Amino acid sequence: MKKFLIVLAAAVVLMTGCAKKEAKASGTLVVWSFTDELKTMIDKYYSPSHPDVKIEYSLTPTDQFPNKLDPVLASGQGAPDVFALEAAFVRKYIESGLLLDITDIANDVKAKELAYPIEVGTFNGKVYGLSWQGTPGALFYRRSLAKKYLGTDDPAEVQKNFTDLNKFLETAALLKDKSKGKCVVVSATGDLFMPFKGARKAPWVVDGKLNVDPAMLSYMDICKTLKDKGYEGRQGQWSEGWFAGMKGTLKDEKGADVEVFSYFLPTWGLHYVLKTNAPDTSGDWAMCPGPAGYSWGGTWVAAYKGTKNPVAAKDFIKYVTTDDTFLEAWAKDTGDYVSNNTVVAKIKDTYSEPFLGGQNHYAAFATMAASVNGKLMQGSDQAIEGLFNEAVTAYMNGEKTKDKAIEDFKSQVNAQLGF
Amino acid sequence: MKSANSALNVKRFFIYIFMVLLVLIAIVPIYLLLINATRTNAQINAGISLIPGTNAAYNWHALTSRSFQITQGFFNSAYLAVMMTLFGVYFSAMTAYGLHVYTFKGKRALWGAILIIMMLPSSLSFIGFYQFVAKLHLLNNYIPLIVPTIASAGTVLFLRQYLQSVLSMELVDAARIDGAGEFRTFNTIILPIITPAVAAQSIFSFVGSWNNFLTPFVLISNTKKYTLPMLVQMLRGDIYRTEYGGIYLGIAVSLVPIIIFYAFMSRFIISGITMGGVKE
Amino acid sequence: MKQKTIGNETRINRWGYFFVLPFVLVFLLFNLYPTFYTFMLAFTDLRGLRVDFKFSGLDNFVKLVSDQYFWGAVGNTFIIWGWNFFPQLGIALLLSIWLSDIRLKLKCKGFFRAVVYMPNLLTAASVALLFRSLFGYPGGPVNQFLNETLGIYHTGVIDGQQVQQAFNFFRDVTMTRGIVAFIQWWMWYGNTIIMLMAGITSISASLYESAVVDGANSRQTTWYITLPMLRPMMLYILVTSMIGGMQMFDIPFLLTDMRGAPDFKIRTSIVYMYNMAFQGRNDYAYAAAISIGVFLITIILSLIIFFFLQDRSDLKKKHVGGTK
Repeated sequence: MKKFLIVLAAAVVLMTGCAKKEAKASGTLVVWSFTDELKTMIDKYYSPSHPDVKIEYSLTPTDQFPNKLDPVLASGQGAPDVFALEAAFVRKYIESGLLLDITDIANDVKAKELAYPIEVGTFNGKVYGLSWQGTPGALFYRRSLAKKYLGTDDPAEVQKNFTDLNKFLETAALLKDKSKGKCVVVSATGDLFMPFKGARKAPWVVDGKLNVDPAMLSYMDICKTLKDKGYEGRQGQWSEGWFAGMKGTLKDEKGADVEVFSYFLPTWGLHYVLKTNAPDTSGDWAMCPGPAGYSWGGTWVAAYKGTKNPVAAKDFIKYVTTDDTFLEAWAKDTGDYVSNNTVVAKIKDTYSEPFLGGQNHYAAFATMAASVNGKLMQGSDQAIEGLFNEAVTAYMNGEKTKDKAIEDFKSQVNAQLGF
Repeated sequence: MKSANSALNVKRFFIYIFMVLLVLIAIVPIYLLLINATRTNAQINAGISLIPGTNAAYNWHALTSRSFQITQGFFNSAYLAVMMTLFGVYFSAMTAYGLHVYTFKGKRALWGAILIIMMLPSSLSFIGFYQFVAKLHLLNNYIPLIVPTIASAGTVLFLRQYLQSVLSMELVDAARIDGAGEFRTFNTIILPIITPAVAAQSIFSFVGSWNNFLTPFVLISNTKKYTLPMLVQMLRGDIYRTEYGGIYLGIAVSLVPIIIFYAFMSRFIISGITMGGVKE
Repeated sequence: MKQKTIGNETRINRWGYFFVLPFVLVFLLFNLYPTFYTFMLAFTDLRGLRVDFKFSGLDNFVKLVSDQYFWGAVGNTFIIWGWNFFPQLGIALLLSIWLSDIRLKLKCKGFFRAVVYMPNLLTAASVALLFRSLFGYPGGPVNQFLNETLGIYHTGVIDGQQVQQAFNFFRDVTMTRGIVAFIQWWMWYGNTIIMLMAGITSISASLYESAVVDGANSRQTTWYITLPMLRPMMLYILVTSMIGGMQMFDIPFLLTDMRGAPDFKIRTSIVYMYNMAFQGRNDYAYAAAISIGVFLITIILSLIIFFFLQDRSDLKKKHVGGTK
């Protein structure tokens, strides 16, 4: 009897000890985001598996999200516990010192996670944000147009026409000639911005000074050439004309058809942009790496430094951005390219995308993801690039000379940002 | 006489044409906005149309299917607009009355201050305003939206000018002799007299707060408390493809109550202001 | 029954405090404090997502005075306001005079006034959305109308050859400024008409009657009676429009890329302030300095206007009013 009691007592002690070590996440988390993605994750996966945590979710459109977040983070009043951060402004917050340090989670998962999202979420050696996805970019082209003008629609062969920027221009000229002006390589010069950004060797601000990478100067040149020679469709990105080009319904001012050969889009571009807007062209697309490796967009998840519930916040971030089971289910649900390499390795060969004529986009993206440089993103990017785009447009449209445009750009950056 | 008449007629004819042109310029864009509420995204971006489309139901679905309630937003906006107008106009009338009828120390200073306040850009105090409200823990609350309307310098200015031309002190003296208290006099005798001006200011105030986006946007993050303009802006949260049809429908839903309210009260704007003029 | 007049008066006048108290309290709390806070900010270096700051004296103001982009923004604001205001006053004046003219006996006055006021009921966001899509490039409705219906094209050069293209309205400084000024005009001239007509009705009819008896025609009554008598009202309209104009934000902001494209020529002073405060590196201190700069400019201009235009109109009033 005595022995039994001792064993029982030991068992109880052991069990309570174990329960304490678990430190189960509980309480309330206020979560802010700018799309429904996080909400879907919460409703479908997180809440069912974490019933002890109550989530209060709030959505604000992307372009107003920083305006919403800034005052609460700065003053500490009304700040959310966990929030999503879009690539356009993620660095601003990572570099702010107002986020919860999650280096411990990052170290746990470093081995199995894609490198560049962690790089983006790192500042001064500490990690503040993680992402559940990788968003490498590719060149998506129309198979029918490739067959017509390049003689083949095989991705490996088509890629030979786009190995670098010079080849890209040559192919643009070829397309125009062969189609007698009907076919343009891109519908918008803006399409090239992300690839060229990815080709940079250094970021915009180096040692507190503005650095205009040669890739950016090449971007200006190529935009002008594309426009002057008529290799582009003169649309603005995200405009109705841009979408029309995907559907194949783009017409110019005289009503003549304009064929758009390709679009530069990342992982989510395939599902949320091409598929949703051009369903009728399904099967007529394929993808190849294009002239430069790049990433575009992406959502990071971070927590506020002064959150009242750091345990739950960290647990949430870890689950949403790194959990194997969840990410596998999420990838299967949405086709999203996830940042967990273990999961990717497991599922990548199972994909065959009908929209791309059966091509395995997942495996293709897996190769491209490895070559993304996560150290090029900075907090001041959005502001600098807004001013830079004005300079590019002015030069492209012949409103200013290249030197004047760059000079004005530097002057504006200096006035507004102090670099 | 006849030639004078026909010269007048010719002039009248051209003026009428000009007026018709101006009416068209005023109405056509508003009409286009409302029409777009019934069309699809593709139709809207393809061009303008003077004929309504058939997509209203789909747009309504796009508007209401997201994680917020349009009816809730509607009532939020209505509540806020009514409260802000009531508080703003009533207290402005009080202040205007106080400035007009009584002489007291600091009256001139106050009047001068009111004039200067009107020249301050509202953007000037915005940053400090937010910090202040945050410190009071009044974020996500309608109070910091309603209470500041008590100090509406522009309304006070207008009502005071109106009082000056319409109110005679004899009326006030008569009421005093009758033994009525000052406050009672204000409520029962003065307010009815300045009703046209009050009505005019109510319209401006109601429209202003109904359409106000920036301040509620910065102060409120609980979607259940969002106003109508904020909800319409939220439609742009679909970053991959803006649902323009839904947005226009949202704009229409925000606009129609205002137009109705305005149609009822518009005679007051004109009579309210014109009565402020000198009568012979 | 008769009370001491003086004592009674003082007691009654104390009620004045009661009536203005709510206004004063709320104003001090919600307006004055934030305004002082902003004033103070201009002398600091508050920037970014921090809450701590140091005082930096007049640094921000020194920077402001030599900031070519600030003065550029002020210039932009003036130009756009001018293009909006003068046609607004001109057209509103014409219409008010015509509508008030008893001889002309125009019909549907009430309807007309009500309708031209309606654009004022819209939010700036809705209007900007609509006009941005109307003037879109290359396929917006206005372009479609010009290209397809009227056959008017812009000549572009592609690969050395001339091509017919649509008009890129929002890359043309004059056009974009024009559109902004038009929208401002469209939204506000109904308001101005109402104000002016109110002013006209307050001119005593006997003046007109005696002028007509003296043989004056409508042009003369307008020039010698209506306009001078309307001077105070026009002055009020000028000053209030200018104050509002200096703070022009919504339309320039929403119609362009939030920065006043093209070439920042639509960037008004408050758009510049917003760029500084809520975009870029969130330089709240400098933004505060900008808003003070705008405020000072507004006050100086208002004083100048009052000084130059008020006196003479007073004199004129005495002259025209005769013995009044």
